[in-house]
Amino acid sequence: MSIELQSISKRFGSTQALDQVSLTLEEGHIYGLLGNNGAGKTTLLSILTDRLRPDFGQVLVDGQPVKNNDEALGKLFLVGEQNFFPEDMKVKRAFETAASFYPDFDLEQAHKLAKEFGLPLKKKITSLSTGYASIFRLVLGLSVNTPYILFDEPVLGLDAQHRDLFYRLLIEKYSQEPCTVIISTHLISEVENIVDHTIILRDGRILRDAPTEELMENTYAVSGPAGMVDRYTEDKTILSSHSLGGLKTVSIQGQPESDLPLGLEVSRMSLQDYFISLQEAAEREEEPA
Amino acid sequence: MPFQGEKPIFLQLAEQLEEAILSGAYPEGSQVPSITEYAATYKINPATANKGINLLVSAGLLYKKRGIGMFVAEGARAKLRQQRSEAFYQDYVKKLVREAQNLGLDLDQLTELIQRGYYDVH
Amino acid sequence: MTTTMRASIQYQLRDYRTSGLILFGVNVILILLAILGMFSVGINGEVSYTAYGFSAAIFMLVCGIVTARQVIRLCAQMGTGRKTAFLSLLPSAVLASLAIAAAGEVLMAAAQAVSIGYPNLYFNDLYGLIYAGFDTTLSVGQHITSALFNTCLMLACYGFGLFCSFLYWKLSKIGCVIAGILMGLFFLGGLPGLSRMIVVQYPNLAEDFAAFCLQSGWNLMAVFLVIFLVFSFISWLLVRNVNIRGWHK
Repeated sequence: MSIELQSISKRFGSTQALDQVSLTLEEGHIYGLLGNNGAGKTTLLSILTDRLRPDFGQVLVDGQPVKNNDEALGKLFLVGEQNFFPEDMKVKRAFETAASFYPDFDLEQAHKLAKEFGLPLKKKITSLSTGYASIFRLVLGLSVNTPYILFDEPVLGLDAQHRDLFYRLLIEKYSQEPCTVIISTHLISEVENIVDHTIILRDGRILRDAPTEELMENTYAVSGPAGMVDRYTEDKTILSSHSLGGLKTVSIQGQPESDLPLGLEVSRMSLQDYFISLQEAAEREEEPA
Repeated sequence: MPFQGEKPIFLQLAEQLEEAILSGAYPEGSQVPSITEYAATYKINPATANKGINLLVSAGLLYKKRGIGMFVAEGARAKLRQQRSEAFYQDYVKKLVREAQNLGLDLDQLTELIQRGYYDVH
Repeated sequence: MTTTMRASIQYQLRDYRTSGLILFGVNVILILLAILGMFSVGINGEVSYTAYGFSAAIFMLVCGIVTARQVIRLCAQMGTGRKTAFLSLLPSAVLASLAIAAAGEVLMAAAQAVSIGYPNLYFNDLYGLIYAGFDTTLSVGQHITSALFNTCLMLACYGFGLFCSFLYWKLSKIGCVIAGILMGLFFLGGLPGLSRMIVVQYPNLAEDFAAFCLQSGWNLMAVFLVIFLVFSFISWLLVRNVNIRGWHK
C-alpha cells in the first residue's frame, strides 16, 4: 500500500517545476513535504491527484496509475490552498457533496469539528476569511477517511489556538485509524516532532528523503572560537556557517565524535535549522565559482 | 552522550513520565494516559511517544494490559529512587569527593561541610 | 453506475433544479404578462409569446459555458477523474433538458388552453412555429414532439457552450482574446459568408439541407443531436489534458 511517483517531470513555460522526481510514500507515516516557495510542493501534490498532468513519468496509488482512475483517486484527498468548490456553494452543502463522493466521509464528525472550530455552516465558502477557509478544508480532511490525506499548507492564516487544535485532532485521528498523511508546509518548527519522514524539495528536485530521526541524527552544530572551529571542521561536510564576533557556529553533516576538543560545544539541530542550512549549502553550490 | 543540547523528544517524554511517577502524580497501580493522549498533548508523532513510553515498559516501570491501557508497576517508585540514587552517586558524590581530595579536605571535614549544607538548604 | 458518477450527476441535477425553476418561473411570469397585455391592447391588438424553447436553449448554453468547468473542478477536489467528470456532464444535461422541456410543454398546453377563448392571443413554441403554424393549437402528440425538439435544441446549445468554455480554459490569456475575436468575426462575417458561398456554389446542397430540416421536426432534431455530439467530443479533446486549477482563497 503506497503512493509511487516514478520520475515525474513538469515544466511551465521556462520553469522546470519538477525534475525527475521519484518518491515512495508508504502507508502509516506522517510525511513532511518541505520546501521554499516555488520548490514544487503544490505542483507535486497536484500531479499526485491528477489535477495536473506530468510531462513525463507517472503516479501509482497502490499499484494503479492515477490517470483518469476514480478508484485510485478516491483513495486520496488533497486539502489545498486553492479553492475547487463552486463560487456559490455553502459549507453545509460542501460537506454533503463530499459525503456523496466519498463513501467513508463522516458527516457527523464534520459537523462536530465545524462546531469545535467555530466554522459557520451557512456561509458561502468563497465568503470565508483566509483563516476560516483553511479551517473549512481541514474539517474536510479530518472527516473524509481516505487512506491518504494530503495537506498543502494546512494552517495558512490560522491563529495559534486553531493551529494547536488542528495538530491535536490530526494526531488523534492518525493514531485511531491507520492512514498516510502528507503535510506540505512552511512552518517547519510546528511539524518537526509530528512528521516521522521528511522530504525536502528544492527547485523541483529532491534534496532529502529520509526518516526525520535519521536526518536529525546525522547532523549537528559546533560552536566555539573561530580558529578552533575551523580546525575541527577541516575534514567535515559543512552545511552552513555563521560568525558572531570571534564565535563561530557551523552546521555539519555527519555524526559527532564522543571525544571533542575542549572548548567546542556540540548541539543537536532542529529540523528547521537543518532545513535552512541545507538551503544555504545548496545556494552556495549554485553560485558560479 | 555527545549531545549537550536538547535531548531527543522520546527521551524527554520518558524523563517526564519518570518524574511524574517519582512525585506521586502517577501512583503505583494507577492507569497512565494512552500513547494517543501523550502524542496529541505534546504534538508529537505517536511512534515517538510509543518509543519513549516503551523505555519505561522495558525498564519494568510501566506495564500494559491488553485492550485496557498502561499502568504504573508496583515498586516503580522505589526502583526509580534506587536508579536515581545510583546516578546521584555516580554524577555528584564521586565528583564532590574528588574535588574535596584536591582541596586536601579529610573525611571528617567533608562530612561536616555536608552536614552544614544539609541544614542550610531546606 | 459508479459512486463518483452518481454523485456528480446528483450534484448537477440539484443545481439544475434550482436554476431551472427560476427559468420556468420567469416564463410563467412572461405568459401572465402576455395575458394581461392582451387585455390592455384590447380587441384590435395582437399579443403572442413564443420564446420558451429559445430561452431554455440560451439557458443551457450558459450552463455549458459556466457550470461545466465548475463540475470538473469540484470532481477534481472529490477524487474523481476528469473522464468521469466529463462523462457525467452529458447525462445530467440530457435529464435537465428533458425535464425543462417537458415542464415547458405543460405550461404551453395550459397557455394555449387559455388562449382559445381569445382570438388575438397566441401562445406557441419553436416546433409549433416551424412545423405546425403560428396559431395552431397543438395536439398531445405534437406537444411531445415539441418537447423532444426543444430538448435537442437545448443540447446542441449546451454542447456549444461546453466547447466555448473548454476552449477558453485550454488557451492562454492571449489565446482567449484571439479566439474571442476570431469567433466574433466568424459569426459576423464568416458564417454568413460561408452560408452565402455554399448557397452560391452548391445551391442544390443548401436547398436540400434546408428542405431536409423543414421536412420534419425529427430531421432537425437529428441535426441538433449531431451538433451536440460533435461539440461534446471536441470538448473532451480540449479538457482531456488540461491543467485543473482552483482559485486562491
